[in-house]
Amino acid sequence: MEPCLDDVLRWDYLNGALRGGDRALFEEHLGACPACRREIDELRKTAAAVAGLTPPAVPAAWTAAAKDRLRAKALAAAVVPSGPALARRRTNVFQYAAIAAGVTGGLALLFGLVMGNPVRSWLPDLSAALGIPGPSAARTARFVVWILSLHALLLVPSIIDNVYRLVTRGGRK
Amino acid sequence: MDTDRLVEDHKKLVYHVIHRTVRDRAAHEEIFQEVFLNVLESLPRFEGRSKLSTWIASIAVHTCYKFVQKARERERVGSFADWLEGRPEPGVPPDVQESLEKGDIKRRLEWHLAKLPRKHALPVTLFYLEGMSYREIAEILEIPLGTVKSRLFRGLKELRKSIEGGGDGTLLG
Repeated sequence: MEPCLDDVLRWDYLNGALRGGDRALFEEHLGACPACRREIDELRKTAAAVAGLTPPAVPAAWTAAAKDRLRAKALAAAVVPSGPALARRRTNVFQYAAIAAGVTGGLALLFGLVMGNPVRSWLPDLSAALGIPGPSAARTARFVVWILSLHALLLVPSIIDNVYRLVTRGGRK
Repeated sequence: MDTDRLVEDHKKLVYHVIHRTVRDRAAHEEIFQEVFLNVLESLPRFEGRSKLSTWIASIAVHTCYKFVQKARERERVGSFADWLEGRPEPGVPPDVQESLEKGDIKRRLEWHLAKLPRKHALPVTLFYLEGMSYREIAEILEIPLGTVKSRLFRGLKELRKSIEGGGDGTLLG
């Protein structure tokens, strides 16, 4: 059957929200229309039955599990740095890598220059001054200088660290 | 944030929403946990423009929608509005339907309510079992206020039809 009246109007009447002239008109229609009267009566009973339904109980295990997971998540959120903090740390890693590359490159350049011609030219004089005779002695001296230089490489990380701290402290001012 | 209280205060509401929108009972517990985890995650963005319960119900409905979308990725679930138009996927085996005792009025009524399309079952549940206002239901389902009333009316009519069609007319007296 096609409805005689609008759904919203019928709903409002069913819930006692229709007042004044609208209500009077609606009731006038109900008096003349047995189908609408029957429908309202049936829906009133349906609504009462639904309102009397007991909501299904939430299983206790679900509630306990949800509480546990939420507590764990809240705790993790309190420990793990927030988004901006993570972003700052990521930026620092990039900064650190850039400084490390710069310092290493600079030192390598310096090492190449120092171990190039100037040092090689000094080595025979150095051998002579130390009283080490012959070319084999000069080779030994060169080898010793190489070993000392390699040991100096151990200082590189510390140099990088110090430059990095200097840069970041300057940035936070 | 007292996460235990958050779960305790809203577990019934969340359970209702899941119950009305997803028929796959095996998935209910997982969705229940997921809803609360989503709530906790989104809590910093809650601006207090609506009641917390309304906001949580909205998250619950959307979590259910996303769950169904993910679970049925091969089928087209459509938009949120399309999904609400649909009925929960069949999940209760026919033999279980038959085993519901005719005398168990509330279970029979609950079963008929569960068969309704989501667009009718959800407003009816939120209005009659959760005592929510039209405005709150409108916000949760993202529909106009007038549509809430007409869906409530249609929901009761559909329920009545289902009850009578299932030979359960006596449920309503």
